[in-house]
Amino acid sequence: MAAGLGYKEFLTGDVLTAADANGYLASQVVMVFADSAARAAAITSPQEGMITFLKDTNSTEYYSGSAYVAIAGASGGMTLLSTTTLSGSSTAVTSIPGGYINLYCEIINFLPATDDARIYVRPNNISTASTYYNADTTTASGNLAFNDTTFTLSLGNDNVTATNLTQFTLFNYDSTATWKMISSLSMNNAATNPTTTVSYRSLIGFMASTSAITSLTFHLSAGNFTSGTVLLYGVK
Amino acid sequence: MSNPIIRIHNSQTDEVIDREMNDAEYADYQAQQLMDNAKAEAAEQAATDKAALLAKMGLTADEAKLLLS
Repeated sequence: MAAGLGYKEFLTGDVLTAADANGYLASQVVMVFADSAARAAAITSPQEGMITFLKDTNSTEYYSGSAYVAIAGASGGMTLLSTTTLSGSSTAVTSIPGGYINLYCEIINFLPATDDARIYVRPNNISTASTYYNADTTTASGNLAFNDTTFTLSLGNDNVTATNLTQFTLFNYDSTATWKMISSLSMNNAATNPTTTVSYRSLIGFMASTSAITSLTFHLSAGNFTSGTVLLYGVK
Repeated sequence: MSNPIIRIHNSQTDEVIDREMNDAEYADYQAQQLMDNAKAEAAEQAATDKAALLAKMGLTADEAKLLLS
Protein backbone atom coordinates (compact mmCIF):
# COMPACT_ATOMS: atom_id res chain seq x y z
CA MET A 1 0.00 0.00 0.00
CA ALA A 2 1.36 3.38 -1.00
CA ALA A 3 1.91 6.12 1.53
CA GLY A 4 -0.36 9.15 1.29
CA LEU A 5 1.08 11.84 -1.01
CA GLY A 6 -0.99 14.76 0.22
CA TYR A 7 -3.46 16.79 -1.84
CA LYS A 8 -3.63 17.11 -5.61
CA GLU A 9 -6.20 18.92 -7.70
CA PHE A 10 -6.72 17.02 -10.94
CA LEU A 11 -7.24 19.13 -14.05
CA THR A 12 -9.04 18.29 -17.26
CA GLY A 13 -6.81 16.16 -19.41
CA ASP A 14 -4.52 15.05 -16.58
CA VAL A 15 -3.40 11.41 -16.71
CA LEU A 16 -4.41 9.50 -13.61
CA THR A 17 -1.43 7.27 -12.98
CA ALA A 18 -1.37 4.24 -10.73
CA ALA A 19 0.91 6.14 -8.36
CA ASP A 20 -1.56 9.05 -8.17
CA ALA A 21 -4.48 6.71 -7.63
CA ASN A 22 -2.66 4.87 -4.87
CA GLY A 23 -1.02 7.90 -3.27
CA TYR A 24 -3.72 10.54 -3.58
CA LEU A 25 -6.91 8.54 -3.67
CA ALA A 26 -6.70 5.07 -2.13
CA SER A 27 -4.65 6.24 0.83
CA GLN A 28 -7.03 9.03 1.68
CA VAL A 29 -10.55 7.71 1.33
CA VAL A 30 -12.38 6.05 4.19
CA MET A 31 -12.02 2.35 3.45
CA VAL A 32 -14.93 0.21 4.61
CA PHE A 33 -14.39 -3.33 5.95
CA ALA A 34 -16.61 -5.94 7.57
CA ASP A 35 -14.28 -6.20 10.58
CA SER A 36 -10.65 -5.78 11.65
CA ALA A 37 -9.73 -9.23 10.29
CA ALA A 38 -10.91 -8.27 6.82
CA ARG A 39 -8.97 -5.03 7.09
CA ALA A 40 -5.79 -6.82 8.16
CA ALA A 41 -6.13 -9.18 5.21
CA ALA A 42 -6.65 -6.35 2.74
CA ILE A 43 -4.06 -3.90 4.04
CA THR A 44 -0.89 -5.75 4.91
CA SER A 45 1.25 -2.59 5.08
CA PRO A 46 -0.90 0.20 6.49
CA GLN A 47 0.44 3.72 6.19
CA GLU A 48 0.28 6.43 8.80
CA GLY A 49 -2.85 8.53 8.37
CA MET A 50 -5.02 5.97 6.62
CA ILE A 51 -8.65 5.97 7.76
CA THR A 52 -10.90 2.93 7.90
CA PHE A 53 -14.45 2.15 8.96
CA LEU A 54 -15.36 -1.22 10.54
CA LYS A 55 -18.94 -2.31 10.01
CA ASP A 56 -19.09 -4.77 12.91
CA THR A 57 -18.28 -2.13 15.53
CA ASN A 58 -19.32 0.99 13.57
CA SER A 59 -15.95 2.54 14.40
CA THR A 60 -13.85 4.93 12.36
CA GLU A 61 -10.14 4.52 12.98
CA TYR A 62 -6.89 6.03 11.75
CA TYR A 63 -3.51 4.29 11.51
CA SER A 64 -1.01 5.97 13.81
CA GLY A 65 2.05 4.34 12.28
CA SER A 66 1.96 1.42 14.70
CA ALA A 67 -1.73 0.71 15.38
CA TYR A 68 -5.28 1.58 14.39
CA VAL A 69 -6.72 4.12 16.80
CA ALA A 70 -10.36 5.07 17.07
CA ILE A 71 -11.30 8.59 16.10
CA ALA A 72 -13.22 9.80 19.12
CA GLY A 73 -15.07 13.04 19.61
CA ALA A 74 -13.47 15.88 21.51
CA SER A 75 -15.57 15.04 24.55
CA GLY A 76 -14.25 11.48 24.62
CA GLY A 77 -16.08 8.21 24.70
CA MET A 78 -15.66 4.45 24.72
CA THR A 79 -14.43 2.35 21.83
CA LEU A 80 -14.91 -1.40 21.70
CA LEU A 81 -11.42 -2.79 21.07
CA SER A 82 -12.14 -6.52 21.12
CA THR A 83 -14.65 -9.24 21.90
CA THR A 84 -13.01 -12.44 23.14
CA THR A 85 -14.46 -15.83 24.00
CA LEU A 86 -12.82 -17.38 27.06
CA SER A 87 -11.34 -20.81 26.39
CA GLY A 88 -8.64 -23.18 27.57
CA SER A 89 -6.82 -22.83 30.87
CA SER A 90 -6.02 -19.21 30.09
CA THR A 91 -7.02 -16.66 27.49
CA ALA A 92 -4.88 -13.70 26.48
CA VAL A 93 -6.03 -10.55 24.72
CA THR A 94 -2.93 -9.17 23.02
CA SER A 95 -1.79 -6.15 20.95
CA ILE A 96 -3.99 -3.76 22.93
CA PRO A 97 -3.49 -0.37 21.31
CA GLY A 98 -2.35 2.67 23.26
CA GLY A 99 -3.80 6.13 22.93
CA TYR A 100 -6.67 5.89 25.40
CA ILE A 101 -6.80 7.13 28.98
CA ASN A 102 -8.17 3.97 30.60
CA LEU A 103 -9.10 0.43 29.68
CA TYR A 104 -12.58 -0.72 30.66
CA CYS A 105 -13.37 -4.43 30.62
CA GLU A 106 -16.51 -6.50 31.13
CA ILE A 107 -16.40 -10.25 31.65
CA ILE A 108 -19.84 -11.68 31.00
CA ASN A 109 -20.98 -15.09 32.22
CA PHE A 110 -17.63 -16.74 32.79
CA LEU A 111 -18.15 -20.42 33.48
CA PRO A 112 -15.32 -22.53 34.88
CA ALA A 113 -15.13 -26.26 34.27
CA THR A 114 -14.04 -26.71 37.89
CA ASP A 115 -16.57 -25.80 40.53
CA ASP A 116 -15.80 -22.75 42.69
CA ALA A 117 -12.94 -21.51 40.49
CA ARG A 118 -12.04 -17.81 40.65
CA ILE A 119 -11.03 -15.65 37.70
CA TYR A 120 -7.79 -13.67 37.64
CA VAL A 121 -6.20 -11.20 35.27
CA ARG A 122 -2.55 -10.46 34.66
CA PRO A 123 -1.63 -7.35 32.68
CA ASN A 124 1.27 -8.05 30.31
CA ASN A 125 1.20 -11.58 31.76
CA ILE A 126 3.71 -10.55 34.42
CA SER A 127 3.86 -13.37 36.95
CA THR A 128 6.85 -12.20 38.96
CA ALA A 129 6.41 -12.56 42.71
CA SER A 130 5.58 -9.38 44.63
CA THR A 131 4.31 -7.50 41.60
CA TYR A 132 0.68 -7.09 42.65
CA TYR A 133 -1.34 -6.09 45.71
CA ASN A 134 -5.04 -6.98 46.03
CA ALA A 135 -6.93 -4.73 48.43
CA ASP A 136 -10.54 -5.48 49.32
CA THR A 137 -13.11 -3.82 51.53
CA THR A 138 -11.37 -5.11 54.68
CA THR A 139 -8.01 -3.56 53.79
CA ALA A 140 -7.12 -0.51 55.80
CA SER A 141 -5.39 2.42 54.15
CA GLY A 142 -1.68 2.39 54.72
CA ASN A 143 1.62 1.16 53.38
CA LEU A 144 1.03 -2.07 51.48
CA ALA A 145 3.90 -4.21 50.25
CA PHE A 146 3.38 -5.85 46.87
CA ASN A 147 2.85 -9.50 47.66
CA ASP A 148 0.97 -11.24 44.86
CA THR A 149 1.38 -12.61 41.35
CA THR A 150 -1.99 -11.66 39.84
CA PHE A 151 -5.16 -9.64 40.31
CA THR A 152 -7.99 -11.70 41.82
CA LEU A 153 -11.16 -10.41 40.17
CA SER A 154 -13.81 -12.69 41.64
CA LEU A 155 -14.68 -15.29 44.20
CA GLY A 156 -15.41 -18.83 43.04
CA ASN A 157 -18.17 -19.43 40.50
CA ASP A 158 -20.42 -22.40 40.05
CA ASN A 159 -19.48 -24.75 37.20
CA VAL A 160 -23.03 -25.09 35.85
CA THR A 161 -24.70 -21.70 36.27
CA ALA A 162 -23.31 -18.49 34.83
CA THR A 163 -25.35 -15.31 35.09
CA ASN A 164 -22.40 -13.32 36.34
CA LEU A 165 -20.70 -10.04 35.54
CA THR A 166 -17.25 -8.74 36.37
CA GLN A 167 -16.12 -5.30 35.34
CA PHE A 168 -12.86 -3.48 35.89
CA THR A 169 -11.03 -0.36 34.87
CA LEU A 170 -7.28 -0.18 34.39
CA PHE A 171 -6.24 3.40 34.88
CA ASN A 172 -3.58 5.18 32.84
CA TYR A 173 -2.76 1.83 31.29
CA ASP A 174 -0.33 2.99 28.61
CA SER A 175 1.74 5.21 30.88
CA THR A 176 5.41 4.34 31.20
CA ALA A 177 5.80 6.69 34.15
CA THR A 178 3.44 5.30 36.79
CA TRP A 179 2.59 2.03 38.47
CA LYS A 180 -0.76 0.62 37.44
CA MET A 181 -4.04 0.58 39.36
CA ILE A 182 -7.21 -1.44 38.84
CA SER A 183 -10.72 -1.01 40.24
CA SER A 184 -13.02 -3.99 39.94
CA LEU A 185 -16.47 -5.20 40.95
CA SER A 186 -17.65 -8.74 40.53
CA MET A 187 -20.95 -10.53 41.13
CA ASN A 188 -20.96 -14.21 40.38
CA ASN A 189 -22.87 -17.38 41.04
CA ALA A 190 -21.85 -18.93 44.34
CA ALA A 191 -20.75 -22.54 44.06
CA THR A 192 -23.42 -23.43 46.61
CA ASN A 193 -26.97 -22.33 45.73
CA PRO A 194 -25.76 -20.61 42.53
CA THR A 195 -29.21 -19.43 41.46
CA THR A 196 -30.05 -17.81 44.79
CA THR A 197 -26.69 -16.66 46.16
CA VAL A 198 -24.45 -14.00 44.71
CA SER A 199 -20.72 -13.98 45.42
CA TYR A 200 -19.48 -10.44 45.58
CA ARG A 201 -15.95 -9.09 45.39
CA SER A 202 -14.77 -5.51 45.30
CA LEU A 203 -11.13 -4.96 44.49
CA ILE A 204 -8.69 -2.12 44.32
CA GLY A 205 -5.43 -3.51 42.99
CA PHE A 206 -1.98 -2.14 42.47
CA MET A 207 0.78 -3.33 40.18
CA ALA A 208 4.47 -2.52 40.46
CA SER A 209 5.12 -2.06 36.77
CA THR A 210 5.72 1.09 34.76
CA SER A 211 5.39 -0.69 31.41
CA ALA A 212 2.51 0.25 29.13
CA ILE A 213 -0.10 -2.51 29.24
CA THR A 214 -0.50 -4.20 25.87
CA SER A 215 -2.03 -7.53 26.90
CA LEU A 216 -4.40 -9.01 29.47
CA THR A 217 -4.22 -12.68 30.39
CA PHE A 218 -7.27 -14.20 32.07
CA HIS A 219 -6.87 -17.41 34.03
CA LEU A 220 -8.61 -19.46 36.70
CA SER A 221 -7.70 -20.78 40.11
CA ALA A 222 -8.30 -24.27 38.72
CA GLY A 223 -9.20 -25.97 35.46
CA ASN A 224 -10.37 -24.57 32.14
CA PHE A 225 -12.84 -22.00 30.97
CA THR A 226 -16.03 -23.60 29.67
CA SER A 227 -17.35 -20.30 28.32
CA GLY A 228 -17.53 -16.58 28.87
CA THR A 229 -17.05 -13.35 26.94
CA VAL A 230 -14.59 -10.52 27.48
CA LEU A 231 -15.42 -7.08 26.08
CA LEU A 232 -12.52 -4.64 26.11
CA TYR A 233 -13.02 -0.91 25.60
CA GLY A 234 -10.67 2.02 25.29
CA VAL A 235 -11.89 5.06 27.20
CA LYS A 236 -10.98 8.65 26.32
CA MET B 1 0.65 -36.00 28.68
CA SER B 2 -0.02 -32.75 26.85
CA ASN B 3 0.08 -29.32 28.43
CA PRO B 4 -3.09 -27.24 28.94
CA ILE B 5 -4.41 -25.10 26.09
CA ILE B 6 -3.95 -21.34 26.01
CA ARG B 7 -6.01 -19.03 23.80
CA ILE B 8 -4.37 -15.91 22.36
CA HIS B 9 -6.61 -13.27 20.77
CA ASN B 10 -4.90 -10.42 18.91
CA SER B 11 -7.18 -7.44 19.51
CA GLN B 12 -6.01 -5.62 16.39
CA THR B 13 -6.09 -8.38 13.78
CA ASP B 14 -8.81 -10.45 15.49
CA GLU B 15 -6.64 -13.53 14.99
CA VAL B 16 -7.32 -16.27 17.55
CA ILE B 17 -4.75 -18.98 18.26
CA ASP B 18 -5.42 -21.98 20.48
CA ARG B 19 -2.28 -23.89 21.33
CA GLU B 20 -0.65 -25.93 24.05
CA MET B 21 1.24 -24.01 26.69
CA ASN B 22 4.98 -24.26 26.28
CA ASP B 23 6.95 -25.68 29.19
CA ALA B 24 7.78 -22.27 30.67
CA GLU B 25 4.14 -21.18 30.52
CA TYR B 26 3.03 -24.46 32.06
CA ALA B 27 5.56 -24.16 34.90
CA ASP B 28 4.29 -20.64 35.60
CA TYR B 29 0.69 -21.88 35.46
CA GLN B 30 1.41 -24.66 37.95
CA ALA B 31 3.24 -22.27 40.30
CA GLN B 32 0.24 -19.94 40.20
CA GLN B 33 -2.15 -22.79 40.98
CA LEU B 34 -0.02 -23.81 43.98
CA MET B 35 -0.01 -20.26 45.30
CA ASP B 36 -3.77 -19.93 44.79
CA ASN B 37 -4.41 -23.15 46.66
CA ALA B 38 -2.15 -22.05 49.51
CA LYS B 39 -4.01 -18.73 49.75
CA ALA B 40 -7.38 -20.47 49.70
CA GLU B 41 -6.31 -22.91 52.40
CA ALA B 42 -4.97 -20.07 54.54
CA ALA B 43 -8.26 -18.18 54.16
CA GLU B 44 -10.25 -21.28 55.06
CA GLN B 45 -8.04 -21.92 58.10
CA ALA B 46 -8.45 -18.31 59.25
CA ALA B 47 -12.23 -18.61 58.96
CA THR B 48 -12.17 -21.89 60.90
CA ASP B 49 -9.96 -20.38 63.60
CA LYS B 50 -12.22 -17.35 63.87
CA ALA B 51 -15.33 -19.48 64.23
CA ALA B 52 -13.64 -21.61 66.88
CA LEU B 53 -12.58 -18.53 68.84
CA LEU B 54 -16.07 -17.03 68.71
CA ALA B 55 -17.55 -20.31 69.91
CA LYS B 56 -15.05 -20.42 72.76
CA MET B 57 -16.03 -16.88 73.77
CA GLY B 58 -19.72 -17.62 73.38
CA LEU B 59 -20.22 -14.83 70.83
CA THR B 60 -21.89 -14.69 67.45
CA ALA B 61 -20.12 -13.07 64.51
CA ASP B 62 -22.50 -10.11 64.69
CA GLU B 63 -21.83 -9.66 68.40
CA ALA B 64 -18.09 -9.73 67.76
CA LYS B 65 -18.49 -7.16 65.00
CA LEU B 66 -20.49 -4.93 67.34
CA LEU B 67 -17.82 -5.28 70.00
CA LEU B 68 -15.08 -4.19 67.60
CA SER B 69 -17.00 -1.32 65.97
